[in-house]
Amino acid sequence: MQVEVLSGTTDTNLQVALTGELDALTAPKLYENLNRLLQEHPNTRKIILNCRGLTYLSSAGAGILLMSIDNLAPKGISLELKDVTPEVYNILDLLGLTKLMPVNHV
Amino acid sequence: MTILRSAGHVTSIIGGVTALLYLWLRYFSPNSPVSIWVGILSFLCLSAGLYLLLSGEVPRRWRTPHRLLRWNALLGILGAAHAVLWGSITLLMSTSSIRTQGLVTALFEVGVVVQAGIHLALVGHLVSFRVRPVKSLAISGYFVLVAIILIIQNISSTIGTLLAPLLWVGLLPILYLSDWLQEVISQKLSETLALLTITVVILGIAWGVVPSHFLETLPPLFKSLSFVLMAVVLLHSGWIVVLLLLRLVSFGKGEGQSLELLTEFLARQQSSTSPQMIIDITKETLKKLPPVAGSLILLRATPEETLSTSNISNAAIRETLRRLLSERSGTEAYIEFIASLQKHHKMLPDISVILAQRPLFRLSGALLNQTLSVAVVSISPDGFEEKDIELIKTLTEQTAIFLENLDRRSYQEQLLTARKEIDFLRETREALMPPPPPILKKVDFHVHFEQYDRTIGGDYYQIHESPDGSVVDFWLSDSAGSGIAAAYQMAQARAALNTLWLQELEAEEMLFRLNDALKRVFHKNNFLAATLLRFDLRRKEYILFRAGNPEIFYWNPLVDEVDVLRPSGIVLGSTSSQIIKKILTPEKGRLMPGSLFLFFSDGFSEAANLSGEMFGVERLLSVFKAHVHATPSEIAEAIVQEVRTFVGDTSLGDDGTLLVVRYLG
Repeated sequence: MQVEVLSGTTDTNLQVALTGELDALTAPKLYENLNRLLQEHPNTRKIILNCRGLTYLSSAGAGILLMSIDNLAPKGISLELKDVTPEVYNILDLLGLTKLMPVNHV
Repeated sequence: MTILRSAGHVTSIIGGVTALLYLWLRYFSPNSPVSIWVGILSFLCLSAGLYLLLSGEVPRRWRTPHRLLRWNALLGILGAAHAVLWGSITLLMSTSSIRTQGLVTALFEVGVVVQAGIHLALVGHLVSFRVRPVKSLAISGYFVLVAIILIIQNISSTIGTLLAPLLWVGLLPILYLSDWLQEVISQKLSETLALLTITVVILGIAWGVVPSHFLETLPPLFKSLSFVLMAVVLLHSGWIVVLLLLRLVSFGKGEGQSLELLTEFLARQQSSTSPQMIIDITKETLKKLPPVAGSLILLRATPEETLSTSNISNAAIRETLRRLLSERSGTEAYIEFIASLQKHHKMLPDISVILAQRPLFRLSGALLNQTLSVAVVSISPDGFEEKDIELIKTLTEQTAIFLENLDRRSYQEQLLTARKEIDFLRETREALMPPPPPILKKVDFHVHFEQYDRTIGGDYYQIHESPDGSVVDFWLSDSAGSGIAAAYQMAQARAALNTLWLQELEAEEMLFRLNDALKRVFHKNNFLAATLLRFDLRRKEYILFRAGNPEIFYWNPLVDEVDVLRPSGIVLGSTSSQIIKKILTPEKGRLMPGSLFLFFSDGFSEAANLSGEMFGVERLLSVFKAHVHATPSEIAEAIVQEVRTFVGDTSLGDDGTLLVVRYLG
């Protein structure tokens, strides 16, 4: 899985593109990358993950998103998923994550 | 080698030319005192030249004691035949002119000179078996002694005759250094003794009986050489005596040493526990062989620091050997003898190398390569005997076998460990099985639970009846992930759930408390997806919560329709109960006789066939719709059958649970 900062990133809005599969192997990598990006962009208030290239989401991947929400909320940072594919959206919806954060599907 | 070859050629040519000169002198100037010096020079040059030529042209491994002895005996027979031939001719020519007679006897002498020269060369190589400086010194010294005594004898025959026994005394160190006798003592001893005896007898006939029988007076050169010829015969006789003595003292010592070396090697390798250990033992064993100066052993594609061993100090040699080994295919057993590394690089020293490779047949991933490569080095260009090559070949082969055995042992151990792990998982799974379901009067239900690949998945189900029988809960949950981690989560959820059931809480409150409990014990990225269906049999109502699990099918008997129930919810254990309360929405309804519910875990809805297509919720729904009037067990059986047909030979890919519940009223 690849994590790439998008050009639309502003001082407070961090826009990140996710490509590939988010599973047990790649989930820790996403978490590390988000932490690193937050250190590089300390004024971030919202993280927008563009999931157009995200082809698969496992339970471990969903777990990482849940953990991120839980950790970011006390810091006043929100998480938002954008351009999620229908397959990934169904999983997020099934697990109830669409009710925890804004999820915009393609 | 090149110098030896050149020196051998030059000296032999001088020996040949002087032999022809000797013939010329004996014919045209029979009484010339110079001719004897020419004859002696011819003998010395031929002996030395042939010795050097053998060193330069014939590889050491072809100059085995047996081969040298056979050539020696054959030469003796030819020499005897030659002596008889020319002795007979001399008799027939007794009335010819002095010149002709001189030429004929000179031909006999030259024949003896050539024969004796070759004998000395062969004898020299027999002694220099297992080359050592002391041997080279002894052979050279003896040759110089022969030359000096021959010269003195021709200056003063009296002094020469007095000194001649020195030639015989000088044989003692040569006899002492003849360790080839130890090598042959248990191998073809009879043949060796026979060859030596034939040689002694034949030489006695050729150089003793024939000349005295056929010639009236001994020719001058033959007379001068007689002490040397006698020394050759004595040396052969001495070898026979020493061989017999050795036979009495220590039978099979030479062969015994090799056998002992091999036995010790095999015994030590039996206890080897790592490829490195096996290679170290092989290296140590190789070092015990007399000619071995160093060895390089490597397993191809394995990090050199761990598995390559070498006591060869010269980095250039090591690199060349490594390159040579890496150039070989390694796909089949291979051995090569390199007499000199100079052909690979002229700056390299003139040494002997044996390259041996043997493919390794892997069973497991314990070995990282497929070839054992061995290079054994001798500092002498002629260091290895044929026997050494055979022994090195055997050691390489045995080392490869031990590496394979280790691999096999490791593979067996891995299998054993895997079996133990499977047993552990199975026992854990059995320990985590739900308690036996209660017997319910008003509810008919059936559970189909299918484990994936006999490991532990995250599915857990339980049917709980309140102590007064008024409330029945149907629970189906799925922990994130699989394996031991999922099993622990499942165990934690199971314990919390059964504790909460004792408190007889409202369903919603029970889920909030379960969420709080799980959030405390779960890691932040873990969660539990669950479905809880509660029948209130007193009020004839049901209440359904869906926390991250798939939808529930509900058949309403009043309208004969199937509803897909998707109440809002979120997984448990990862979010605070304040948020859960906002999201988790119950689905409530009246229980009517015949009301039918189907729960399923994603193991069934996401079961995929070989082309990767999932069975899906829609197919499940259509099977359910087609069987709503059947019993719960029949419905479950129909679904399982359909899913199995769909996926074909593949398994579900995950745990699969079906829970079919019908309210009887």
